[in-house]
Amino acid sequence: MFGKLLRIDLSSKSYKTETIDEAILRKFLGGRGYGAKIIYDELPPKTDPLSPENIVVIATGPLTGSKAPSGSRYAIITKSPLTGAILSANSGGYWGTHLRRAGVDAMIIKGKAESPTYLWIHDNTIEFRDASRMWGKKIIESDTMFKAETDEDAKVLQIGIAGEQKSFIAAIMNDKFRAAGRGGGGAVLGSKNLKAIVVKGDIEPKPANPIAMKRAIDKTIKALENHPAGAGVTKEGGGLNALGTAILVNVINGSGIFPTKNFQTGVFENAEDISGEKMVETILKKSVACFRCPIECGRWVKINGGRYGDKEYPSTEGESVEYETIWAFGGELANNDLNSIALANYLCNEYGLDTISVGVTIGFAMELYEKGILTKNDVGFELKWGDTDGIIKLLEMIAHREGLGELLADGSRIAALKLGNGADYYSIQVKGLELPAYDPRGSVGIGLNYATSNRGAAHVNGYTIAAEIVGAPLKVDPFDYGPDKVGLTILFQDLTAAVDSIGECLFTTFSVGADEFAPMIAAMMGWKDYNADEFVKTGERIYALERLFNQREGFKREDDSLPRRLVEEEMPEGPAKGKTHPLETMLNMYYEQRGYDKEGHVTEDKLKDLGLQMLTIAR
Amino acid sequence: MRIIGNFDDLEKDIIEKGLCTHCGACVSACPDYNIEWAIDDRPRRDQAKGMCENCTECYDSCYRVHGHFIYDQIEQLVFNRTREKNEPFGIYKKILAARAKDPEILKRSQDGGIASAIGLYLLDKDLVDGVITTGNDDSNHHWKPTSSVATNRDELLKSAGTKYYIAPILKMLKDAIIDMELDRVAIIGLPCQIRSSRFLQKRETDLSFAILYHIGLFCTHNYEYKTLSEAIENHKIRIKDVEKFAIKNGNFCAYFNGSNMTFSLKEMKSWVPNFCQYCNDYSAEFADISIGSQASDEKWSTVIIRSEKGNQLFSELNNEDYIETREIVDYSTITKNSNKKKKIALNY
Repeated sequence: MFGKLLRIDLSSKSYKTETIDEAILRKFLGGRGYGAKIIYDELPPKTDPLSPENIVVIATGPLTGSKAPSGSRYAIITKSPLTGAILSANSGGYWGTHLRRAGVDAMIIKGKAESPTYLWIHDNTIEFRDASRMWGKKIIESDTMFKAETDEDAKVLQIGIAGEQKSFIAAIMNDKFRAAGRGGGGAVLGSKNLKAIVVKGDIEPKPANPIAMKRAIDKTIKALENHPAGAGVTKEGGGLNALGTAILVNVINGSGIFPTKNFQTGVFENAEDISGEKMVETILKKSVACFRCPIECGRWVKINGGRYGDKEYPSTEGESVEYETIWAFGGELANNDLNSIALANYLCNEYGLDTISVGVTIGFAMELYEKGILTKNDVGFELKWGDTDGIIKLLEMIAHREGLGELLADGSRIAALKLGNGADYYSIQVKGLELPAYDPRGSVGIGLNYATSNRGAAHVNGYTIAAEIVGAPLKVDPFDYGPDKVGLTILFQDLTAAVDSIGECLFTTFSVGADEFAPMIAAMMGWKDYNADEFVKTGERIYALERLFNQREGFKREDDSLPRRLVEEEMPEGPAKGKTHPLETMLNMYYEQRGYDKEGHVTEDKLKDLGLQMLTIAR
Repeated sequence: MRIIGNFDDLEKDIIEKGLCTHCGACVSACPDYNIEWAIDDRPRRDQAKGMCENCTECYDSCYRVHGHFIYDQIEQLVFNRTREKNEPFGIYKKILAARAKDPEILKRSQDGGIASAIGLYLLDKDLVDGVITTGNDDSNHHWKPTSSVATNRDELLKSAGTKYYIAPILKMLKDAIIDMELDRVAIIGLPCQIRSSRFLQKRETDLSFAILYHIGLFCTHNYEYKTLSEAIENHKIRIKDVEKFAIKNGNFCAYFNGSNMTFSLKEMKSWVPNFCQYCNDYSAEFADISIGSQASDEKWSTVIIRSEKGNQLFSELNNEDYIETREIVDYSTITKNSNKKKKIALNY
């Protein structure tokens, strides 16, 4: 069962508990869906994201912390300072499991604490505690301090100094190395003086129908274990389990969509040097799993000596270096030094920064330097493509808001606005959120998804790469921009919205789908007639509700855009040579298939279809 | 820092110390099905998988872990009260002798065939979908007990008759409930298996919700199958030619081709598996109904009706003419055997 809600008011240091109405859960599930419902209902329009009035929802899903495989996730939902849109980010590890097992399925945080504060949630107890000593500390050190003050087995969600300084690209970190990374959630917690939420819980959530649950789980585990994009391996020994997400470096580069030099091209000649295969030979120590995950895609890495292994950064070991980060500090910056990438990742974790936005913002600065818009005088040193020292230096400056770092700490869009002088052309973002590691010119579905995703350019909101490039669960033509591709993108977005709302990891969706998730939810919640169709429909409803929120905040069709470079400049080389992204054509079909009007607004008919007719629509 | 209670701990604390009673519960408990009953007759895990990290299901499901099986808790669960001082072999409602009426059961059974009669009744009347019990391996190793799930009369009758070793029958919880999709099962098992299953119920593990009946069998101890078969085959007799084993007058007798051989029970002491030496449960004290041969005449079973559920079931069997019963006046052998087992049991 699921539905225990904790409301926190930081201003008055008070809390109360509630039970979430089951009808709401059936319509929106938990996690991202429940968060969207609360943010839509309770956040006054045009609220300043960094004001005490902003709301942060932290919600697990019905499968979080249960026996369902890969059900480790919690989601945070708030209004993003980076985009001004609704932000939904989620993360795995162990924190979400402990929150749920401590008796809190979801929490709604409002207000602002007078001074640095953390919450300690355990055994049905909620304490507001002083976090002054941890304020300003790096993540690993403060994680240890929180545990020393609470319980050695507790799990810590916290912000780093980037969040404390309200950097718009600050992440929320949990279990030291995991991040609800994108969109500046860390800044929102920082603005509330909420340094951390420490949890410990031991009570496993009980399904309403334990036997049906066990059967549904069994089916899911078998499907996951037999698929190389799940926990299985290919004949050659490859797969997500063997190589982690870094398996994608060679795959994506081979498809000519590995953005290089701030999306100037899609082919990085030195990709092999920073590939998942290379990691296995060099820095990889072991694979790491989140709670009850058979996929075990996490990488535990240690920098092996070299220029970044000893002197300035002596102890750089930890769980890190996902594909996106390898790319953001690798191909994006024309950097083929895996050690420096691992270090950059390590530092982003330590400061609580979103690796994608930091990498792309540094890439933006490097291109401005190349084009002469930024000079040595502005930066303080020469900022050349692939210069690892420069990358690390600039990262430190962003984390501490020093020098040029002050300008870059709120992401590339705001920096470009301040700089003027044509800098905005090189800011590779949608709605303010920097693009991730797939050039949409050679994978048009992901481009449509970047443009229409409710939180900005997020790959994980509609990961069509799975079908367009990887071929899991099916293979489609990456260049096709017809109605089928649009429909597929919509299906990915809807399914993802639902998966993000149940506590499951998106990585399960390469090998299992609604047919596996729906029975697990039915068994957990005791919803006898719950089926795959209702599950996907729920995703569509959540998607529309997020869009309605953005609509109320003033978002329009022109915000469903892509960086000009990607729709105007032809890809110069590789398999996607000569291609641009056909956004406008796809967008028209997208709105039509979604049942939105030509301006991208959700129509009354669609609201009715989704059971959202009670909502008033802002235009 | 590491969470206590993963498979490594189970190996160290239970399996390698000889405390594992071969119930098979850990095999069913593993959410990842990463534990198997291995060829060397013990639970094994190939290697830790991602899902093993911070997962303690196998350890948590083991009733032999110190502090797990707490008498008072289990008795409250099964009987709604705890035992009094004057209940040396556990709580019960009555003790009587009984025998099955079905001639085929009687033919195949050791004594009165009551365990089989109960299993058959449960299946006939659709009270359960399957009976998890100990079968015979009639492929290569005759008389080697196997874990089985009976869903009909034929399958059930195959499991009739006493075996002298143990099979990890609770690993069949997974087979029965997940693979065969049975919603309701009964367990017919030895005292240790009943205890393990009750512990799963107490823990409210997912699969335990499908276990509706516990039928226990008296047990002094087991004999290692390997030792037994070697002893028989040392006499140039193939174990699969043995038609019946029985304990008679302090001897263990094997019957074959109209002849027999005997071993003195004293000599067989060294055949007893380690884990049996820690056991103090002779009469399956936590079953709904316990069944044995001692204290009744040949071809009759001794029946201890313990729980209300067991009482109800047994009266139905009687009313439906599956069995006949008669009184037992003197059941002091049960007390004696039970006390003896408790006295010699080692602490762990």
